[in-house]
Amino acid sequence: MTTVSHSPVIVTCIVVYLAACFFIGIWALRRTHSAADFFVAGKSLGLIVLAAAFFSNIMSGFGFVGGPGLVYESGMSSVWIVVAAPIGFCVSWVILAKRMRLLAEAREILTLPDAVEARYGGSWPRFLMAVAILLGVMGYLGTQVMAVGLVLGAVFGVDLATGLLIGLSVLAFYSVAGGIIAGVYTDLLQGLLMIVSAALVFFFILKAGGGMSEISANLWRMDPDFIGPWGTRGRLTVLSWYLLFALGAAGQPHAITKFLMLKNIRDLRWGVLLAVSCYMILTPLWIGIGSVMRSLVFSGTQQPLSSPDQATPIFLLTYTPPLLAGIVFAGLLAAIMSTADSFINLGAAALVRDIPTAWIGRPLRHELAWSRVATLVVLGASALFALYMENLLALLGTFGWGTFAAAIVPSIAIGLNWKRATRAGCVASILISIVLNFALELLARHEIFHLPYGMNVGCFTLLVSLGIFIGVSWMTTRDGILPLPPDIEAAMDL
Amino acid sequence: MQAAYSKIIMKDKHDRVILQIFTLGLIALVLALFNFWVPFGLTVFGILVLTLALGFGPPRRSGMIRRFLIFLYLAYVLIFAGMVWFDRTTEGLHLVLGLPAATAFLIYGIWIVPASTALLYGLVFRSSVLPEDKIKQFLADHGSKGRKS
Repeated sequence: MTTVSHSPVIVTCIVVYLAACFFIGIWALRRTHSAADFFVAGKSLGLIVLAAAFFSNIMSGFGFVGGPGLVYESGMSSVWIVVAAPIGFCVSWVILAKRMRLLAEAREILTLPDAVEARYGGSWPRFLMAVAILLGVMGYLGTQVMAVGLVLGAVFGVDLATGLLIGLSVLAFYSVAGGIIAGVYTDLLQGLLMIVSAALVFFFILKAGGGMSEISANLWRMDPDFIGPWGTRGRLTVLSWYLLFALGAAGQPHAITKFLMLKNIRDLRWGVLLAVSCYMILTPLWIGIGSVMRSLVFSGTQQPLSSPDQATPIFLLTYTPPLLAGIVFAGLLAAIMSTADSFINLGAAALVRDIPTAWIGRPLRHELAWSRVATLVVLGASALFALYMENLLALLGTFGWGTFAAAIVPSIAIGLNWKRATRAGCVASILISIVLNFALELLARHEIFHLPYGMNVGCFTLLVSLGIFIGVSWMTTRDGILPLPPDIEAAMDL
Repeated sequence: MQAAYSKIIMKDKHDRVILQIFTLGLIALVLALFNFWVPFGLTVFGILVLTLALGFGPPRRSGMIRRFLIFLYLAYVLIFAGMVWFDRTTEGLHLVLGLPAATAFLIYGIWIVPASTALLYGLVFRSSVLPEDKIKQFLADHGSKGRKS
C-alpha cells in the first residue's frame, strides 16, 4: 500500500478515530459484568445500533479495498457481490431474525453453537459448529488483521509488523475490555463514518473520471466486456457469487449473532429497511473507485497499479482533498476493525464457551475472565496467520464467507424453520461443508482441480451442504418427526 | 402442552417448500456442471424467493405475501432478461443513466428486490410476521429463561 505518512491531516483523522475506539473501550468496560454482556451485549441493542452493526459487519474491509480492487481487475463481475448483500439482509431478517431472538428469549443462548444445541440436542452439533466457526474466523480474521496492518503501515509510514502492532493494540484493548458491547458501539461509529465517506467520495469519483458516462465510454473502448453486466469473470461465476452472497448472508455468524443482542424484538420491524438503505449508500464507492481507476489508467492519466488492492488508497491520495482522504481512511480502518472485533468475539466464544460445553457439558468457570484471555489468543493467532498469507485480500474474504455459508445456512437458517430437520442432517451438513470447502480450495490453490466453468467453490459447497442437510433429515424422519421441546417448538411456530 | 410434546407427527408445514428448495438446489448443481448459465440464473433466483417464502411461512403466504413473492420472482426474471437481451443485441455503446443499457438493468434494476422486500417486512410485521398478541403469549409462556442471562 502506498505510504501516506506525509499527510498530517490523514494521520490526525486516523489518530482521532483510534482514540475514539479507545474511549469506547473504556466506556464499555464499565458495562461489561458477565459473559452475556461480553458475548451478546446483555441483549441491550436498539434498532439503529443493530442495523449499523449488521451492515458494517457485512461490508468490512473487503468492501473498501477488496471490492474496488476486484472491479479494477475484472470489471462489473464483482458488482454481483455487492448487489447480492442487500437481498442477503432480507433473507437473514425474514427467515432468521425472529427465530433467533425468540430462542434467546426462551433459553440462555449467547452463541450460534448454543442455538444449534437448543435446536438439535446432543454435543456433536455444538462441537462441529464451534469448529466451523473457529476455522472460518481464523481465515477471515487473518485478512482483516492484515488489512489493518497495511492501512496503518501506510498512514504512519512504518513497516507492516509495526502497523499490525499499532492496530492490534487498539483492537485488543477495546475487544478485551468491552467485549461485544465495545464492538457494536464502534460498529455504530464505523457505520456512520462509512456512510459519510462513501457519499462524499462518489462526488470525487465523478469529478476525476469526467462523469459516469465518460467513465463508461472509456471502459467500453478498452473492453466492452469489462463494463458489461457480467464483467470478465464469466457468467456462471458471477451468478454463483450472487447466490453465495445473498443466501450465504444468513450464515455469517458475525452478522446474525446480532439478532441475539436486540433488546426489544419489535425493533426487528424496520431494521432491515434501515440496513438495506445504508448499504445502498455504500455501493457507489465499491463500484466507482475500481471503475474510475481503470478508466484513468486506460486514458493514460494514471500509472497502472501494481496490485488491484491499491485502487482505493491511490485514488484517495491522488484525487481527493486530504481531509476527505483522512475521513475515508478512517472509514476504511473502521470497516476492517468493525468486522475484526466481531470475529474476535466469536472466536473467543468458541474457545471458552462452545468447545468446553461440548466436551465437559458446561462453559469454563470464570467465563468472563477466560473470554478476555481467549480474545487475546485469537487476535495473536490471527496476526501470525495473516503474516503467512500472500493471496489477494478479496479472494480470501470470499473463502471465509463460503465456509460460514455452507456450515450455517442449512443447520441454523433452514433448521430453525423446518421441524423435520434432524441432528444427523445437521452434523452431516456441517462436516461436509468444512471438508469440501477446504479440500476444493486446497486443490484449486495447487492447480490440481478447479470446478468447471468458474463455478464458485463456496456456492458449490453451499448447494451440496443444503442438499445433504435436507436429504439426511428427510431420510431420518421417514417414520415421523421427532418431538421438540415446547419452547423450541413455540419459537418455530410463531 | 406435554401431550403435544410427546406426539410424533408425520408432516411439517414447510415440507413442500423445503422439497422445492432441495430440487432447485440439485437442478442448479447439474446446470452449473454443463454451463447452462441462463437456467442456472433463473434457478438461483427461484431458490432465493423460495427461501423468503420459507421465512414468511405457509399460513402467511396467502393473499398479499403470495402475490408479492410472485412479483419478486417476475422482477428478477425481467431484470435478468433485460440484461441478457441488451447485452446480446446492442451494437455500439448506448448509455442509460451513465451506464451501458445491460449494466444499467443490473445496477439500477436489481435494487427493487431487496428494497421492496425490506419495505414489505416492515409493513406486514404486526399483522403477519410477529403479531403483538402472539409475542405476548410467547413471552408469557417461555420468556423467562433467556432473561436470566
